[in-house]
Amino acid sequence: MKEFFTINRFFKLVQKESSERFHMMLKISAIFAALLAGYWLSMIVFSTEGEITAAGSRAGYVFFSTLIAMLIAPFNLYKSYNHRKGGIDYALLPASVMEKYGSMLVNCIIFLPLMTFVSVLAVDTIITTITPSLFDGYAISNMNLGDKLSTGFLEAVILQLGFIYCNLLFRKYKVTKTLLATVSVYIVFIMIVVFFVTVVFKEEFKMMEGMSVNINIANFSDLSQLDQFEGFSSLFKTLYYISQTIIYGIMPAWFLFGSYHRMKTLQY
Amino acid sequence: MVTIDNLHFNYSKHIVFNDVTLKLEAGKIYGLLGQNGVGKTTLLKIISGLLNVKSGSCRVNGHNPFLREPDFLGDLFYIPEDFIGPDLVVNKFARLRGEFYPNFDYNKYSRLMTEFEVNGNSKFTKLSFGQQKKAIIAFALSTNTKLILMDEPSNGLDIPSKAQLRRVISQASTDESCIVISTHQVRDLENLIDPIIILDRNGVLLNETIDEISKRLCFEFGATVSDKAIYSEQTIGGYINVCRNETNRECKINIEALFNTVHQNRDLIKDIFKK
Repeated sequence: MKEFFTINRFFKLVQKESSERFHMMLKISAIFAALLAGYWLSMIVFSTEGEITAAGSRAGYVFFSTLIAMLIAPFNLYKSYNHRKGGIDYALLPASVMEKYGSMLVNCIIFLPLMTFVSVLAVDTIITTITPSLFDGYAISNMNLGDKLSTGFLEAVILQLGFIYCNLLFRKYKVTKTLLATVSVYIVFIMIVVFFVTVVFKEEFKMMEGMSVNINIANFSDLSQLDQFEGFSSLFKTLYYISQTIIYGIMPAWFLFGSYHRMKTLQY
Repeated sequence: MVTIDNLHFNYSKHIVFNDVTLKLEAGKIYGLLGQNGVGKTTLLKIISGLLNVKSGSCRVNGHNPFLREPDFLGDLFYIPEDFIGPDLVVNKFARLRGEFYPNFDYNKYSRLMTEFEVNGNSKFTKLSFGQQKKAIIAFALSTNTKLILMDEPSNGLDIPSKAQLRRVISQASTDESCIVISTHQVRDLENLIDPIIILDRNGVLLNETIDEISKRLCFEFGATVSDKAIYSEQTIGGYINVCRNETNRECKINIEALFNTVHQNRDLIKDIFKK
């Protein structure tokens, strides 16, 4: 067990990792905060009288920048992990692979997104306080921090786990290959869905012609609303549950185990 | 300390090691010599767990290196030839990283940094290649690990630093520690490395102590090529002749001449050193 994980060594590792990467994290969060500050300055210079920016849009920007920070985190914070020369230092650090992976997740999923979220929000609060006439309230007061956010965050984490896996998998052209892999997986997924819709469930869809259904889908999990609609066959609902199992269960498990296994077996 | 049995290793179709058996013991500073591409770095990487053997086995203090267990890593330090320092102040790097080595001695690190004349308050990225190398060597020796692997440690060092390097390595060597130095610059580390391991394509040509080598071979300087020489090379003012030591007299080893002798007389050398 001592070889696998010890809490003391894990905390030391997290401390080491975050202090080594603090400048990079600061730089990334400062860029997103500076973009908002730049927008504010352009508003001061160019906006016409009475023109305001809704707090909701700025809250959206806060979430968007946090999401982007999450996605770029592995490529910025751990880009040399599998580098034949640059990765040696990290691979030979006396800590277990589980601790190293755990520390990587803490920095990518918690620290960098949190720093970005807080810094963008702080800038929004400052600029709104300075020039209240340009904004209709603070972004923080227009944030829906309920279930939707937690589901959105969960989906962002799943996507990020995939990016962390790709960052460990590819040694060169990491970002390009990751984007291509993501697009490929998406195309395969869509093709499977189209196949089921046009071939397997063709009759069900024909029967649904003229049926009026209003489903508001913001997250994949919103598809659970399908339960409420009569007329969808149990097979169709089964398909939905299978896809949900794949997206929320199999894919994250694959990314987690795949990344751990890759780190464990990487050769330099 | 290190036991390698029937090791096979290849990079796709390129066979590096074929049935290599080797033992490294504590209390010694091994010099690992060989031509380019014979697998010196590969051997160090296998011992440190960065590469996995294809077949055979490599054990370091009973550990399988490739598992890269924390206890094993805490007792080993590998200095690569091209060390790439992080974008971090050197002293901070040492403090943060030293926490993971149970026997790390910060005072020793500071002393070595002073001896090497490297400013520990600078970032690695602001230091020259040679200074970065000195900083990582200072850190490596301060971890007091039982096994230290150095790949071309004298590359990039200026002349005074090479003398300092020899001094600090000999000071760092203890009865419990084993230091393995892979190098082409044999003159930089002469009088330091003992035993000497010479690698050839597919295997180990020689793994002997200086004492044993000087008992079996004699390195003489003469005006002409000796009849008894198994190898001779022209040098300024004459020839270095390498002969069998038939009179048991003590003679100083010329490592460059030894290397060339071994390479040109593989079978004869094996015969001479047969025990």
